[in-house]
Amino acid sequence: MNREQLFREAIRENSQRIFRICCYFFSEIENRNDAYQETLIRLWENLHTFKGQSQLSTWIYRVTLNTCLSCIRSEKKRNGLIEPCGTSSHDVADSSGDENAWNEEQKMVFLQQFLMNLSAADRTLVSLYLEDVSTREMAEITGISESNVRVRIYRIKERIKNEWEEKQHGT
Amino acid sequence: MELDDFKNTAKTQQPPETTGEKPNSPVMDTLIEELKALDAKESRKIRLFIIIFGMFVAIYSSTFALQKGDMKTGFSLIVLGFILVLGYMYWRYHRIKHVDYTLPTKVFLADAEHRYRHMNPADWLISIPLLSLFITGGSIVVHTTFTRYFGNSILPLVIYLIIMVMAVVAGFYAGYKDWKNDKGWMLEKIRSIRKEFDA
Repeated sequence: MNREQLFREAIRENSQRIFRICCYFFSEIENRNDAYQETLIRLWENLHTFKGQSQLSTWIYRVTLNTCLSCIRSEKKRNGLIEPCGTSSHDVADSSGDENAWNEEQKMVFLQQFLMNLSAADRTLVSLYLEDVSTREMAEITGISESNVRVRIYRIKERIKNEWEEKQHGT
Repeated sequence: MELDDFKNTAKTQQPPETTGEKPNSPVMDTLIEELKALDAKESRKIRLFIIIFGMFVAIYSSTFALQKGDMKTGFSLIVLGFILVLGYMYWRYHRIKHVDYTLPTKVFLADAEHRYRHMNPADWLISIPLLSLFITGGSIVVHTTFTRYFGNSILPLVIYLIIMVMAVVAGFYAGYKDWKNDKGWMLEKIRSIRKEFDA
């Protein structure tokens, strides 16, 4: 498989996953799109290093996360609004009649607010957890030990549970 | 509400203009064309660098070839210095441009921290012999040139050395200020992210 074919294959199978990870890292649409575009460029540039020793998805997660962390370094603050990915404020207003859709939007906004308050390391782990990546693979991707990954995920689970309950009692 | 309950919600997110749903879609073709254009631009930059490098070496080598005696020694050291400067600049460019994004995150961050430092041991290792070459070569050229006007006086050499030292100090200071404005804050951010990963 040549570089172009491998790139097409990688994007076909992983574009949504890559974009979701960008969404977990950035609250603002323009920053997410920048990170997504940047990731595609990095994937293309680094494709020759993929030797098939690890799964393609593991390799893609590494490139995506490292690109997102690089983008955090130079992240530009724009309007400060948190918008769920793939939607706009206009869509949110339109969906107010549909209670389920509205609840999903609210959950998404809460999740993104929660993610933005986490450290970069914890945000990285939650991003992988939400993508159903195993603890062993998370350790392989990040270089954090498996036991440390488990401890951190446990703490984050406790934190999100508490914050959600606080939010529910507050409203 | 548990973290797992957010999994399905999170997965409803879609890229604004998906590039990869169909591997042979026009959007994908355009993307690949753009990426190939970036590759071509990169190759052009490298070619241009090699041309400039070649020109510098040719100009200084011919100047060096025209000299005799001590002047020839002085110019040979300066030519060698210029060749090393260009080689060093190319190495730095290559190191910044070809970052390995496939490393485990912790290793990637350690690598980034190393890259964003103002001066690494390798930079010192190359800078010191480089300055020695320019100062020694320049001193020989200055001394040989001015002997006919000042005899054996070391005054021109002292003036040259003072100017060189001032230029090196000013250059280092300007480079440091530039790095502090441009990359210093990034280094701080990388360090804080690394700390979070090590916590």
